[in-house]
Parts: sequence; C-alpha cells; structure tokens
Amino acid sequence: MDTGKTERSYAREFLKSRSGVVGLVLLVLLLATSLYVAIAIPQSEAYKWDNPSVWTNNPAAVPPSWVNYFGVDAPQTASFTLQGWSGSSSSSGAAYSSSVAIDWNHAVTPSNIVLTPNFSGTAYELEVLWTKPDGNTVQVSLSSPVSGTSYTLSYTPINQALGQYIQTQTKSYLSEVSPAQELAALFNRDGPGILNGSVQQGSYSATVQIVGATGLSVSTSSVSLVGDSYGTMGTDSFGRPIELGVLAGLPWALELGIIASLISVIGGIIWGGLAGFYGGWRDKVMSWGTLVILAVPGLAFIIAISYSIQLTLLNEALIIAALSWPGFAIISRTVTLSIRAQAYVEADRAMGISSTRTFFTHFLPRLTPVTIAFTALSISGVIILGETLSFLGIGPGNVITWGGILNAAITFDASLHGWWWWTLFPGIMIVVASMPFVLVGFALDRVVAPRVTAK
Amino acid sequence: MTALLEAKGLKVYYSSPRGDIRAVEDVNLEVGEHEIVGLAGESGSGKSTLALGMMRLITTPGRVTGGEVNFEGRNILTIPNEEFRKDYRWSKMAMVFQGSMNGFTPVFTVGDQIDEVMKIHGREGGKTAVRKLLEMVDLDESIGRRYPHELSGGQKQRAFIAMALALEPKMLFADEPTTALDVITQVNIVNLLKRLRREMGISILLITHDLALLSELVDTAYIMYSGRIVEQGPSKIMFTNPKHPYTQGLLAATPTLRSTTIQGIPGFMPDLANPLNMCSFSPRCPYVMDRCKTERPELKRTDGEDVACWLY
Repeated sequence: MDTGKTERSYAREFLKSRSGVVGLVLLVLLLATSLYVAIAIPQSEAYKWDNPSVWTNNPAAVPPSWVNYFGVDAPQTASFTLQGWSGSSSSSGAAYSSSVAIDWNHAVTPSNIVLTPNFSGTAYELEVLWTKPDGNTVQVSLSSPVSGTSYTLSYTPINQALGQYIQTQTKSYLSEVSPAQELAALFNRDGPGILNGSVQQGSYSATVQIVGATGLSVSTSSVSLVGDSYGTMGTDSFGRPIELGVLAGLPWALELGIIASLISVIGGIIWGGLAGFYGGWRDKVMSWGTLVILAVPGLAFIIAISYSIQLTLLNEALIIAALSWPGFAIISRTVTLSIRAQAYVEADRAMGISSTRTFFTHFLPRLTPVTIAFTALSISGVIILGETLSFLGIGPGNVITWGGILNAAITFDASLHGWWWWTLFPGIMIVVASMPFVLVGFALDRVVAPRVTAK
Repeated sequence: MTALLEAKGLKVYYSSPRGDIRAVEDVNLEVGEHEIVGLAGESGSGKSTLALGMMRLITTPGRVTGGEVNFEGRNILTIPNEEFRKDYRWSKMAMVFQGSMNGFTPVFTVGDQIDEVMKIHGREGGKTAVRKLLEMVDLDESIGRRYPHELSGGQKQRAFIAMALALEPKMLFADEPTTALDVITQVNIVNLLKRLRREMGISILLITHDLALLSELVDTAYIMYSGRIVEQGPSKIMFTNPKHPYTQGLLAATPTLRSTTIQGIPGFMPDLANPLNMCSFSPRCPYVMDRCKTERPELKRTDGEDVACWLY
C-alpha cells in the first residue's frame, strides 16, 4: 500500500493496451528521427530548399530509385570523371583533351546530361565529341566556357547543336527542341525516325577538348548522366529530393504540435478548472469568455492574421493555442463541477480545510491525468492544422513543411503528371507524425478514465 | 439544561428562476449539552438544509435570509469566515454526511485523511491518534492503511464518524448516517452514537426519515414539513401519542414485521416557492377543516409537546 502504487498501476494498465504500446514505440522512433534531423540537417540546408539553382544537377520529377525493383527501368544518376588530360600548353596556345567510356544498358535515356569542366586560365572553346555504340558521332561546341559551370541540355548552344543534328537525320525542319528530343538525338538509333527510335545500348564515349590561351591547365572535370530515379522518395519538379523535405519537416511538425498543445491544454484546463472551482459570477464571466473564443472561426482567423504579421514557429503555435483552448476549458469545467459535487469536497468545507488546499488535494490530482491524455490527443490535431495552413500557403517562412511540399505539388500539377511520390510521402508523414499521439492519447485516456471502459 | 446549539427563526432560501424556494422557514430548534435531538420529515422537507444552515455550510444558490444560530451563546452567523473556519469547523461542530461513505477522497488512505484533518487544525495527529480514533468506532487499526474503496459501506461510515470525532467536537450533525446501510450495520451505528454520547458527552443532531431509529435513539424529536417544524417534543411522548396528522401519517407509514400493507400519505408536498397563508399540510390532511385553509397554525403547547395544528 505504498504511494508508488497508483503510478505503477497506471503504467501497467497502459502497457496492456496494444495500440498504446505501438504508439509509444512509434513516438520514440519519431522523436529519435527528429533529433537526428535536427543535428544532421542544419538550418542552412533548409534555406537552400527555396533556391532552385542548388538543385539543377538533380533529376527533376523522378520517382524513387527503388521503383527499379518493381520492373521499371529507371536508371540512377551516373557520374564519370574526365581525367588524364592529354595535350599541352605552348606559347601559341593550349589544347587538352580527355575521353571517357560510358556503358549504357537501359531501354530509356537519362533525364539530362550535365558537363562540368574545371580548369584555370582562359579557354576559348570547349568541344564535345559524343560517339554512339554504332560509331556515329554528335559534335557540340561551346565558346568561352566558364570553369565550374554545369552545362546542361537546356544551355542554348547545346540545344542548337543537337537540333541541327536531328534535322540532318530527319531531313525536316524543327523549330524548337525539347530536352527529351535532345536526349533522343544523343541516345536513339540514327535515321529519319530518330525521335521515335529505340535507345542504343552499349558503349558510348565522350571526348572533351578544351582549347585556350597559353597557361590553360585543366583539372578533373565530370560528365554526369542524370538518372530517371532518385533516392528513396524521388524528387520534385525542381530536382529537390522529397526525402530531404520529409525529414526536415518532422522537427517542425513535432515542435509546433507539442508547443501549441501544451499551451492550449494546460491553459484551458486551468481556466475551466478555476471557473468550475470558483463558481458564481466568476464562473459566468470565465465561461462566457470561453464561449466567445470558441465562436471564433479558427482557420479564417489565422488566415486573416497571417496577412498582418509574419508567422514564425512560435507565434503560429501561440495563435493556434489561443484558439484551441476553449474545448479543454469546457471539459475541465465539467470535470471540476462533478468533483465539486462529491461528498468529500463538501466534507472538506465542513472540516474547515482551506479551498486552496482542497484545490490541490482533490482537483489537481484528478485533472492532471486528463491533461496528459488531452495533450497527447491534441498534438495530432495541431500537427494537421499546421500542415493544413502550410498547404494553404500560410505558414512560417524559412521552414520546410509537408503542407508546403504538398502545396508545391498541387501548384505544379504533380497528380496530372503522375508524380505520385511528390504527394504520397509528405502525406504519409502527416499521418505517421500524428498517429502515435492519437494512439498514446487513447491508451492514456482509457487508463485515466477507466470507468468509461466496460470491463 | 442550557442549549449548546440553538436556531432562532432561521430562514434559508434557495434562489431559482421561479422565485425563492423557502427551504427552511422560521425554524426554532435547540440542542442541549449531551442531548441527542432527532429531526425527521420526508424528502425535500428541509431537514438537510436546516442542518447545513446551522453549520453555516449553505452555498449558492442558497442563502440564509434571516434568523440566528447560537452556539455556546454566540451567533455563529456573524463570526468572520477565517475565524469560523479555524475555530469552529470540525473542531467544535462536525458532521457525518448523507452518504458519508463518499466523504473520503478515493486517492488517499483513510488514515492519512483522518491525520490530515487533525494536522490542519493544529493537533498533533500521528498514527497513534488515528489508531485510537479507529478503535473508538470499533475498527481495526489496519483500516487506516486502506483506501476508501477497499472498505465496506459500514466500515466507511464508521471511519467517517472516527474522522468526525478527530477534533473532539462538542456537536455532531449526523445527516442520515444509516441510509444505504443494512439493518445490522444500522444497529451498530446507532449503538455507536449512543456510546459516543455516553463516553464523550457529545451532543448529536440526528437527521433521518427512519422513525424507528428516531424513537430508539433521541431525547427530543422535531418533525419537519415543507420547511417548518410541525411537531416537537420528547420522543417518548411523541412516538406513543403523536398529535400532528403528519406525524401520525409518518408513523403509520413505518413498516413493521406484522403489517401486510403500508399506509402512505396521499398527495405531495406543496411547492416551496409559493408561500401559503394556510397550513401547508392541509391538502393532504384527513382532518382538514375550513380554518386550515385560511390561517396558518403556530406551534402550541399541548400535552407536553408543541404542535402546529388547529386540531389542538
């Protein structure tokens, strides 16, 4: 009959609930992941998210690489280094060349090709000789290349050169050349049907020659065949890896949920508890205040307020908390009123025990478990509300949110293009992040309100 | 015998949308030293409200609208709150509630709660004191280490009486202390109350609707109907020769082993929100006269008792 009995029996009762245990395990996993993300992905990474130039070397809007296991041929990015440059620099100028062999055994083309030359000195011209397995060659020249720049298929001279190549094959005029057509020129079987032909599989080679002024020296450069799949969750149409967004969105969601829930539940419980405990005119005034806030349409209010202040994590949490406490206040007031009607509260009065003491001995112990259960249950609601706001384009800047990713997915017609990974993973994460709190909350609710459950 | 506790013209009203409910109207009641006084009446007649009023425990929407309550010659209704809480509550007047078995908080042990009330009032408390109190009500000391839900109804009731005795009060209010208990336990509780009076010299105001219990235990009985006392007197006289038709009805309605039917009193109590200028029992009275419907009878000395009835 020691005092630890109740706590331990609470724990035992909780562990009896299977969903509660599952929720607890998930919760620990989430918190661990969140901690890992907070350490591994610094805020500076998050700032890069909205800077498209960072992501140009990534394949855009490609599925996760594991789709290859499901019979889809979606090669991953393959990078090749150009090294062993032969050539020399003399007083009349400099010329270097290097060649790399590329094996391509896929039925599809890559999604892009990126050439990144690295050199010091002045280069006049860079020439690429692309040899296909059947021996045909495509030649592209770039004048005045800049060291360290990533030249992709969208670079105009490349686009034009490949356009001309296509016209020599098809013998017909082509006003505009798309990246897909450029890739067809580089990989498909030659002939009039080059644009609709099949990919040549086998050994390609790329020979790069750089011509420049005296003193030019070339260091390791690279050619990358940007793949058709990326990472575990694919990329969006800017080439941003969804997995980065999904991970970076986790700490934010948990922080928002926990901060806003703690404030609103504790505030609401105390407010309603005091109203019920005092009774009389104070109860009337406080309950009226509760109903006033309850009547405020939350979403509309937050949308309106988001135009007048810059939302941050903290003030968004405060606003959500300020709008969501009335529900808890009402429940807390009801619980308090029912406790107040108990004989032992009346007995306390008759015994001359002060009302402050009565509040601490009779009311607080009964309200605490309820508070914990409500907090757990409320967190998921806040997470979903926060993501909803981000989805609507209202949310703190400078943070990556799942709602924000979904917003971008809708804006760039992800569903129309069949880019399912763009919406699926953030969507799943919203569920995964909110579910453990619901499971734990329900299990706690059963523990702290055992009379409700039928035995 | 000087009165330990005395209510003089006490009025307790409850506010309601229909107007004030006059739960207790002009009640005079006296409890002497070492005396057991009984207060009987049907549900809603104002018994418990009267007791709460005399203990100054009326809460909103109720309020004491008139009269005074004198305890040891001092009007307790005028004592400042804090002083009353410290010096009177539980230390001079304690109460065993209607359903006192729920008077213990479920989350602490019985012993801790008894100990707490002693410590709050500056007594020493401690295990020995708790054990003594429990022994006084014939409970084993192990009961002190139990939680309320581990005890039977009778044990809880007795433990609560022990708690009521913790500060050695002079006055004990017992509001239906035997309700919801079986007959054997009831007898034990009654014997316990008798013994307390004998051993501790405590005065008891016993509120009940069990007239058999009343006749067994009390020195003076008060019968209450719709907020007023209708008959008062020594229980020996009252229960052998009841005078007010309501008392007669109540006694007739008491089941006995031999009776095959129980006779009730037809009709209901009048609405306490409408003050009547007539005998409030007249609509249900078998002896009703014209006078009963136009004039209210006052308590009148009759044959060793006070009765409010035009028959006498």
